[in-house]
Amino acid sequence: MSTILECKNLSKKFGYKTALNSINLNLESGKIIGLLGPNGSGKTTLIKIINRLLTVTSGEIFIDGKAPGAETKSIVSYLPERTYLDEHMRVYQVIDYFADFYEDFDRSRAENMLQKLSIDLSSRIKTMSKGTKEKLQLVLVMSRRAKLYCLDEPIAGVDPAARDYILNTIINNYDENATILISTHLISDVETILDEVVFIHEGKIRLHEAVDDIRFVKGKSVDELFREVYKC
Amino acid sequence: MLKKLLKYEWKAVSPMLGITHTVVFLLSITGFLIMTILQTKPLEGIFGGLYTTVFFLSIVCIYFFTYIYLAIRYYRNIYTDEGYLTNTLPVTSGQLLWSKFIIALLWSVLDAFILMISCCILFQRNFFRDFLDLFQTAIKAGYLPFVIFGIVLVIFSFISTILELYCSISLGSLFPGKKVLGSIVSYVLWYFINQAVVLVLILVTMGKDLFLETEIYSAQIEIGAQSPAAEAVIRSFTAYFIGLVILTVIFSVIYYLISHYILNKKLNLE
Repeated sequence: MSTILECKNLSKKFGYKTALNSINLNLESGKIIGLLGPNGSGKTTLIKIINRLLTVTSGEIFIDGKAPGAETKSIVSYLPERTYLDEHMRVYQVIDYFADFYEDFDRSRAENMLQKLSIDLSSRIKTMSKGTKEKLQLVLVMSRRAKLYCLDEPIAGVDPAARDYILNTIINNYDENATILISTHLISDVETILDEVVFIHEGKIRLHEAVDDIRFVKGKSVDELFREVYKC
Repeated sequence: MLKKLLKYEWKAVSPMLGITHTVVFLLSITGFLIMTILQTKPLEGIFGGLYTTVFFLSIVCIYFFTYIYLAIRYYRNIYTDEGYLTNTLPVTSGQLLWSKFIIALLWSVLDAFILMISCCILFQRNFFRDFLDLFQTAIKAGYLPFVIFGIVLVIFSFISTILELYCSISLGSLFPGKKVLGSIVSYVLWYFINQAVVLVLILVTMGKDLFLETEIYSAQIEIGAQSPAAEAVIRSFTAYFIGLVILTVIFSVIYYLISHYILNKKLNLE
């Protein structure tokens, strides 16, 4: 097992506001990790820094031993919490786009999943509902054989049935050697699939533990522990 | 990777620009055919005058639309939601910037070419031949450097215009929540900086002629004339052109470096 993500005294400020405050975090490969925290705690900021969509104010971050750049982008598969596809494109065009740029993209896996979802490859993205767009993006992201998957709020804003589908897709397309980092504030829905949890609050890491330790040693569910830690 | 970026950039911008330029081209052909049938010429008669006016307006609109469209494309694809995909592709910032710049440059040259062809068709005149004749006359009269620097200036003007837009948009991205306003303000500021620098250049290269040697402008100056006045004016203009070319190149480099630096080191997608 190797370290896929390493943060050393990582800080990010937006003007006077501190989004991440000297974070030290190591994530091992081959785990499904929940990045849990209330809204505004810094989850999305950390994930965006991993994907080089935000610049670091101070500290360092390494993905598979390398600073974020073109090389790390080829091994990180990112699902943002918004639609990021060109809505004028058709589904088959987006598949071609992903297949062209990502060597680890599995086209047949993507097409199979889309077929099961009854998503027509010739349909234009802007004609799709919000939920369908999110499923499409998830399919594209999980069709890559990446080393690190960063899923930012993958189940927020979708119905419970869609949430189950999304979580099943994550589990069924997950490479055992890869790491999945799921950021969410909907704990009870995801805790069944998590190996580890990282609690983040006001830009600081409050806790980083294995889910089994929380359940068997502390005798609580992750959801219960979360409510305890973040009690208002 | 750069080839792939170029391919997708071309696919993204060409449909709209292709349609708009085809419309202008068809306007010129339609105008030519109608005027041939009516046996009228452009600018002659009510119909000729009206059609020519509409045509000129369409030329101006398409010219500005091309650059605005390319600027919006750059902004949306890099600094808005689409940027979450573009900026996570396994490519370098340099490759991203070059891909957009190359396609934008290609379309700005195509834009000029298509608009010129359209004018040639409507006005039934080969303006390309006219320019060629002008260059040949100037070269025969011994003004080759003037011609060369003029051509180089036109080429670098295309480059500089695009990079100025990209630089302004990149600078605008540094103002969270006010990116568009920031971009416009940056563009206006660059315009004033450019104008100020060009004014200094004019004063340095042609100031003496403008303010002191007033008899130059009272003289009969013709291309090919051997008078000292004509030679002095051509020398001043050549110096001005050389200075303008150098300045355009310097500004282009500055715009590129700023755009690249911000994309590489200061990207903060909201």
